[in-house]
Amino acid sequence: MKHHYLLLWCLALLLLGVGCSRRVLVPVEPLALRIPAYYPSSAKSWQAAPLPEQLAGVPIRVIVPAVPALLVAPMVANFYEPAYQELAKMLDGRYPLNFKRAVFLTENAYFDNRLSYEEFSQQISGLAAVCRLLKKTNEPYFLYNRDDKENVARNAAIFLMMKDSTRLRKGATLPPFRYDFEDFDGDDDWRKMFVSKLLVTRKGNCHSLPYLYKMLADETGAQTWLSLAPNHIYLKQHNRKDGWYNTELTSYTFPVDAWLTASGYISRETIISGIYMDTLSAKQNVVLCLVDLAKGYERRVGPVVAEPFVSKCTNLALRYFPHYINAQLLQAETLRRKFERQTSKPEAQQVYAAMEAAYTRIFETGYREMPPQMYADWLQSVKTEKQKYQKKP
Amino acid sequence: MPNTDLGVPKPQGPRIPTPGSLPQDQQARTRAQTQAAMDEVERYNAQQAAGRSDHSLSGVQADIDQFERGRREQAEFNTQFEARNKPQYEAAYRVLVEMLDGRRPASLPLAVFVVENSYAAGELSYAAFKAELDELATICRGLAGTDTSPTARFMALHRLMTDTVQVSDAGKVVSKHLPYRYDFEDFRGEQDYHKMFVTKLLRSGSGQCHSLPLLYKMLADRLGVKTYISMAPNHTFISVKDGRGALYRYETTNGHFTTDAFYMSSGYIKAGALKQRTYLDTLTLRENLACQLVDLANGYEHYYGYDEFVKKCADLALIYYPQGMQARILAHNVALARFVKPWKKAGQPAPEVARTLPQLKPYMTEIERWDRALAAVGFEEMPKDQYDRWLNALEQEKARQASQRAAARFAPTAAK
Repeated sequence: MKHHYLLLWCLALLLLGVGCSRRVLVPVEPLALRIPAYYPSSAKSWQAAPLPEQLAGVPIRVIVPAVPALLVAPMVANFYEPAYQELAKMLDGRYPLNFKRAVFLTENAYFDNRLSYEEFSQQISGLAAVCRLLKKTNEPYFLYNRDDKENVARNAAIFLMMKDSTRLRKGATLPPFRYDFEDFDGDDDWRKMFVSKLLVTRKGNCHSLPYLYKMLADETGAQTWLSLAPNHIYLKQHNRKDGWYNTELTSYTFPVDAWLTASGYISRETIISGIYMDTLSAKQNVVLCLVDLAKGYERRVGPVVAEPFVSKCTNLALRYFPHYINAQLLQAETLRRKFERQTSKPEAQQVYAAMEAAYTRIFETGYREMPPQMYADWLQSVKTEKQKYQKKP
Repeated sequence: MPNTDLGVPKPQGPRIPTPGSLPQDQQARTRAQTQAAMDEVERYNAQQAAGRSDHSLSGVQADIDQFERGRREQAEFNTQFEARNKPQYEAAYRVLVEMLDGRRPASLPLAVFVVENSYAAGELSYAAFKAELDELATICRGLAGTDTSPTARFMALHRLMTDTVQVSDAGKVVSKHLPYRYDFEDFRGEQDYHKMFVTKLLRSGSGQCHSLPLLYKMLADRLGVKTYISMAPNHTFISVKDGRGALYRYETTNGHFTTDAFYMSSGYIKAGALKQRTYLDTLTLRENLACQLVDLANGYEHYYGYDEFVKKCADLALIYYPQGMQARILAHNVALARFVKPWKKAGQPAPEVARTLPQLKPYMTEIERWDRALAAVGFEEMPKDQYDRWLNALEQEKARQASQRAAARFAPTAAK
């Protein structure tokens, strides 16, 4: 008899079925695809993962506010709500924290669940295998020789793979991942922020490039941390020779902290309050994805309709990452729009108090909005840098 | 008989002259040199055996005697000095402890004075020190004139420190006060520790990045201007608040207003250190007193090396200024110094071996603990090339100042 407690087991399943009264099934990452972060036990040779020919569909923009709630509800219930639930379970500790899965959930919700996690995961594993191969091949030429050589070599392999074309065999070259100067902040097309877009077009922005690096680092066992700057994400690493250093994937350089503070509009108060230039933990990385989810939803349905879901997301985000500045800003802006829409006085007062509290918290972190002229100058410098990088005919 | 080991010379007849670089000529020369040396040794041995001493040696003997006498006298002076000075250091430590505890009213000038007087073995006068500070403060008030705002008074202080000030009484110039300069010679006080002192700055008119900010702070306190001492790696400077509460950075060594970015880019400060408030933070009075404790310990170490007194000062400084880099460096050095003797006794093993030896393990653990403590507050060993580059910038500044002085001397004569 295989199952000694067969009856008990059936009873348990029944109870479980009765207990779950929610209508939406919360997905869980398939076990088969939970690829270990370090060297896989079975030696799998790298095969060319089939890249999708084009991005899955164009999202339909819902027009606000004439749309009744019934038409919008399907979108939330079917795509965004399960994603929110799974991210919430990750943050609770009920599911293991997995950055790759969190990023995929966020992007898949935007594409109406039309992406395939298996494909996404295969692509990441493929790139990770290339990184391992690069590390092994270049080991005799690796100059760093201290006792944390292994970790530095792993990081160097990922950096090399992303920065330069990798020649796999005769005729097969992996192109590098470059910065996309067109619509770099995703204002026109939110898909510019996505890692799936980066994987297809080989061009990304300061949001997708560090995400890809971090996912590859988790796969290959390289130690690296995401770090925040105004409108920007970069990476922080540590080694014995240089101590803490920064990696900037948009330009593939290693700027010092002084440069980041001077050019990135970061003051000492923001560093001390911890909103910028601090290393993010695994949980905080998942919170980043949660806020991206909220922003994606806001883009799809508009701020008015998105308000309840966005509030839910930001509340959860601020519970696990209280000083995450983007979550605080999103919450404050949402509350402001809510306040502007209020008609009755007592409710308006309540909302006003909440909005004021949110903005005060932001002010106390030391966050100051970049002056418009400074932002315009920085935009201009980005455009001129684009001239530098464009190929001359 | 010549030594046949060297080879019997061949019978020589008339020869064609040779350049002297042929092997036979070289060998002949070597043979002659060796022979001469051996003859001298035989002569010296014969002399020694005969008991006759050479006149040149007796001069050396006299020198040797004098040297020995000098050494003995120095050792006697050292013991007497130590007996006189160590209680002075203990007294200074007690003064600082009382200030930190609150049993004595905290006063930065008194703290600075007791530290410097301990190194000077009680030769300085506190009354004179206070009088000088009061005089400078009076000049500043005079410069500020009727404007009593803190900004005006700070600018008066800035003028005092960077520009020549002529004090006039009833229309006649009574005295001229020259600006305080940066002393490029031995600015780290490695040869002459007095370079670090405010008393030396007041006496000679030149100081460095330790004494100048302290003088600024003491004068600003007297004038009622809100200033703070701030730290950077191997450096100190002043932060000053204006009327509206905005914080400005002021570099005392050249009298310029600077920014955080200036120190971060040249001072090797990372974000972790900023977050821990190790660098670029505004120090409170207690933290300043803790820094004076560290200065006391540093002066003591110059005389007597790393011992219990230094450890005592470092521990107390860490209580009142836990994120302070100086105190942690001091504690780390004490741990290293304690490690040296047992390590040498164990035969100077490599670090991996030393960690396993039972007699060395506690010392290694202590050193590693302080290594971690230094890393925790963002200590980064300033790489040599960075330091050299900064030093080079100093050299350029030195050359620029020298050229300015030369130009000032040249200008009056050129006009004629």
